[in-house]
Amino acid sequence: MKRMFHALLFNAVISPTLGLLMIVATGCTQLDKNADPLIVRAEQVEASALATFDLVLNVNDSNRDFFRSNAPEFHNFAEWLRTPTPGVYPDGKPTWPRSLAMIYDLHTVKLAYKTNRDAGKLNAGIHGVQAIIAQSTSWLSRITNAPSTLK
Amino acid sequence: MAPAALIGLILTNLPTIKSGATHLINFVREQRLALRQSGEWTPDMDREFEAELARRAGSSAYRPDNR
Repeated sequence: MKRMFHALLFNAVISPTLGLLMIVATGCTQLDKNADPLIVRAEQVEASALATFDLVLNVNDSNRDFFRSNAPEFHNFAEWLRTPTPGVYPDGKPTWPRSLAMIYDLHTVKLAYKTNRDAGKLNAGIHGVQAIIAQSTSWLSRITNAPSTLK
Repeated sequence: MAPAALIGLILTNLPTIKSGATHLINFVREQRLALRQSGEWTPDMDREFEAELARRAGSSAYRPDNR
């Protein structure tokens, strides 16, 4: 009886207290104190975009002839991501593929934001790249779940 | 509840409490680590990212059909 009471008390008092402590301990933690959440968000989007576009382009590149004839819309989307886009790039080349140019553009807006604090421009950049990530993941979902012959 | 009973309760459940506390400490440590990784990139990381973009720009998967 005494053991049962102890077990009941442990389950009813100590466990919830520990759980509450865990929630409080994590709920109160924040980003690094000097980190700007908008910059962190931009960096997350940059990294996510690079991984997603890379996957789309490599899946398409694994058999371009097949996708060109059996999934032309997907192939066109990959080609759109590859379209040479003029700009000023760190390696000095006159053009970069559109996918990388978009990421680099966001990257430069993010670096500029550190001095000009133009949150509107950085938010617009983040949303623009996020929209293309959403399109890419939608294509990946359709292509990787399609039957092997597609058409 | 008498203090003796409370001490008895704690002693009886000491292994569970110890295990719970260890989990709690590890959990908070992992969260802090994850949050530290959520801080802004250093200038070195920015440059590494740019170099990675440039490297991929030269990759064959990024070359259009007609090139």
